[in-house]
Amino acid sequence: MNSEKQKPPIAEFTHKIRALAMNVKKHFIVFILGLIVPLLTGACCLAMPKAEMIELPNHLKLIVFEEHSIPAVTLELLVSAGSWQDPQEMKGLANLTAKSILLGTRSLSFDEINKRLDFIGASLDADCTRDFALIGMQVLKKDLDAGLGLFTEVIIHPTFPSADVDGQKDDIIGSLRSKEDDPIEVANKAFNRALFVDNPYASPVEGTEKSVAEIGTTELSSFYSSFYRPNNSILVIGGDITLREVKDIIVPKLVEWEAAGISETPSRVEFAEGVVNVAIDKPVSQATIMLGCPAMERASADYYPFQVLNQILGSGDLSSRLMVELRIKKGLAYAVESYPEARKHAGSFRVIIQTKASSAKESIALARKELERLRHEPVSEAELQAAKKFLTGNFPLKYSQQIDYAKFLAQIQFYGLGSDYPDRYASLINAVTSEEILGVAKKYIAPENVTVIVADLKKAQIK
Amino acid sequence: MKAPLIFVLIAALFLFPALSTGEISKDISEVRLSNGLKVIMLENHKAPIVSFQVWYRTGARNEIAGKTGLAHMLEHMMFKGTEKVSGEQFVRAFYELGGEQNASTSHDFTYFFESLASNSIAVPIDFESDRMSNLVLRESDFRTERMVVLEERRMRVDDDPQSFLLEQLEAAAYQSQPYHWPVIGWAQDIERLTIDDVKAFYSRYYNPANAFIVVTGDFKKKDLLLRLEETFGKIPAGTAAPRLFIEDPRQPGERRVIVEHPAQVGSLVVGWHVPNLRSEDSYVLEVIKAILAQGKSSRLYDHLLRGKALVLDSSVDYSLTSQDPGLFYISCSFLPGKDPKEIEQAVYEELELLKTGPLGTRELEKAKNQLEASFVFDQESIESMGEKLGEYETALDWSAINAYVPSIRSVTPQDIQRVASRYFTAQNRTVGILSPSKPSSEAVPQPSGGGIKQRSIRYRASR
Repeated sequence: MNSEKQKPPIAEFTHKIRALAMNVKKHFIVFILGLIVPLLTGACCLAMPKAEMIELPNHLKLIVFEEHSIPAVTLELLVSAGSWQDPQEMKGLANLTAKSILLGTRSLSFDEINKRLDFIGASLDADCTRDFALIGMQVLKKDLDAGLGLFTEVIIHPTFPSADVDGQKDDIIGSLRSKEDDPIEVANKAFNRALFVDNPYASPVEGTEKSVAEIGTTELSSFYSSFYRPNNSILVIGGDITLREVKDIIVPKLVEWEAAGISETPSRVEFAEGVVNVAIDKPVSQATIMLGCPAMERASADYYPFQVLNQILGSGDLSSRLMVELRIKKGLAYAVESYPEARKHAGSFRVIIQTKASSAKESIALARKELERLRHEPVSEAELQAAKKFLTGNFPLKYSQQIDYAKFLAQIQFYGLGSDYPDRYASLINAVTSEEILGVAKKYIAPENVTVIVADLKKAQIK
Repeated sequence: MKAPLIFVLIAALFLFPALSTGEISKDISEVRLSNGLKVIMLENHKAPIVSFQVWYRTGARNEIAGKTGLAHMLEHMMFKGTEKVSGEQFVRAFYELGGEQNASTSHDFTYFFESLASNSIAVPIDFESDRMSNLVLRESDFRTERMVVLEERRMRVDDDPQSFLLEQLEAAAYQSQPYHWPVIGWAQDIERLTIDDVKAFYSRYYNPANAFIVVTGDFKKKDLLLRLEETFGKIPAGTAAPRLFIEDPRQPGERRVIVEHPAQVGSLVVGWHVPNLRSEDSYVLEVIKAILAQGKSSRLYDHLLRGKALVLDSSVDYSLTSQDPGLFYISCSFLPGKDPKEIEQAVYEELELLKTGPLGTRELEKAKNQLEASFVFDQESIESMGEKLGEYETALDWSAINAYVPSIRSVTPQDIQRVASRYFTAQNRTVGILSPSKPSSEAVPQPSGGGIKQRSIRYRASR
């Protein structure tokens, strides 16, 4: 019954505690499908397709990998134009721009673009995250030329036709409304607003109903020309293609994209301090609970010990501490997990629990106890080793699909982790000690900092 | 290797010309172990990973009144360990391999799957064969797990307005077919389940006669079969459960279900009784699905979402691999402020168009291209290929997958008109409408304040 929803980019995967919404086939999954794997877990034991990077004269970074298992080619363009760049008074501009580049170009209307795309069975999606926008295409090799023509056309020559932009705005406003029916979305929104205070990460990527309504096509064009530049972008091309073919077929279509200076967006990073409790009354049967605090930026060395810490605490695997304490021992929840969101700027760490309203208080107490335990006692050697084995061993599975691998490569580049990152990842993880984990736990984890509960507050005994 | 392997070789099935897309068939083979257990294998050496799946030909369809949810309950209990290995040890073993494991229950089947590095394939083989006959079912585990399942139901169904509507629609559309009740079970039934119910279901359905194995990815067939024979091959075959094919009598008239549920956005789901892959019409329905809802040039998107701007999203769901005939679903969420009656009428008009006007060649070609491209893209994931083979095998025979592309290719404009006229009638449909039980404006949490009960924020400077 899911409507046609785009797959979230890697950075957003961890937002979803419910990996598989109920669909018509009615498969029920025993626990959270796909052990929630942190952003950018690394390679270790198994070889990944080798990636090569070239830089074009317009400073577009182009990364190419070959993977010939199916006759298809994947393209992912990362543009450093996420909601972080939204002007204070125009939340949702980056997201609307990303969605709107697909609405029409100098030579093609919306209808023409989509008829051509659909005729070759290709996909073309635009997603916006807090740090960047991602425009992705998957196309059969035999239709590469047609697909590429459309891909480069929308990226380089969008025109933002106003009637189509208005329709896009209605879609976004409608989906903001329907997110209010999803307790996780409601909790996420409240959590971000409470934790990030006045920081650009505080507001929803989509903006608000009011802010989106006020955006005009002039602002879109201007945002586009400020940020959608080759020198502000990374393009990954992978699949059934060679570097030679990329140079011969694709590069000529990209050289007309003009570079320009990019203005720095001032950074305002501030967080809620002390104790912030947010309770939202909603007529639902479960309480959705989010507990959390600020965390590090993606490039921080603390990222790795924290990653291992999270793996032990709340990876979503049945062996994680939160799963064992809340689900396996007490039957309090089906879904319980934790995750850090490390971004360009300091991000967040959160625990998410969904339990019946009457168990809300007990669950919060148990989760806080586990958070305190991390701050006071080193993790055991067995837990440490197991977490390392999982993180290093799971990488090839996680990135065995072209789209996921392409997004991963783009983000390695974006976050400045170095192109040898996949090779170094295992040693970064394996070097983590239990003392370091205790150190990052003490440094970051604040069990009572921000608590959000979305529930029938009377039943949850919060009222 | 003592017991001889009985190789029932299915020669590569070249059922259709060497389309690049249809070539999977030649890599698929089928073997029976000495106890008759079927093994379906698809080799794909693109990466050193393998997906191992054990499928049981049982699911919610085998439940009785008052005990719905039993098949899914057992699926959960399958993670509680055997006489040899505790549930914790099992979970931990996979975790340390960096592997992924999960399970899924439908009306027609229950399957357990592990994805991991191919050199560790012995681990899931040993464990899956162990838990096929040596599962330990403890009362205490069961009591806790039943609470977990009740939480799962609250999360997936009770607090998700769309899922709730779907459950109600299916209970009305199906009468004698087991699809009448939800896979997860009615809440009161789940509460009624006992450990003895679980034990009885396990001993009746979990045996080689009622199962098959699917292995996809990177493995050596000979070694694999040796290992399977030494493990699964030693399990007494048991008795295959009778396979009933159940089809509701012709629906005597339109059925309507109204669900009043707290929600921001109203929605509509309509289901028509249609055949599965045992009928050639199923492929025509696949093409109709693409014409209506695949891509942004599809009719529902173009007419309802863009043209008339009535809906927030629209989608079609239809699976040709159900064991008994299923429903063809069209669903949409209403754009706030639009009249549900007008939307429902607009959906029916789209179907009338299919009946009256013959489809243009290009539009038909587009739909076929899309389906064929999706078929290729789906082959990238060894796990989803395994799932697809398992579904075909459950519904009919795995080799039916080879008929998919050629059957799609042979659909004519006349087929579309004929099939649309035959199934998309008022008499044959069940209509479900989600009517938000609160006016939207009232329940929208305000940006700050509103439903938020307590809030105390202090600021801290950036880290």
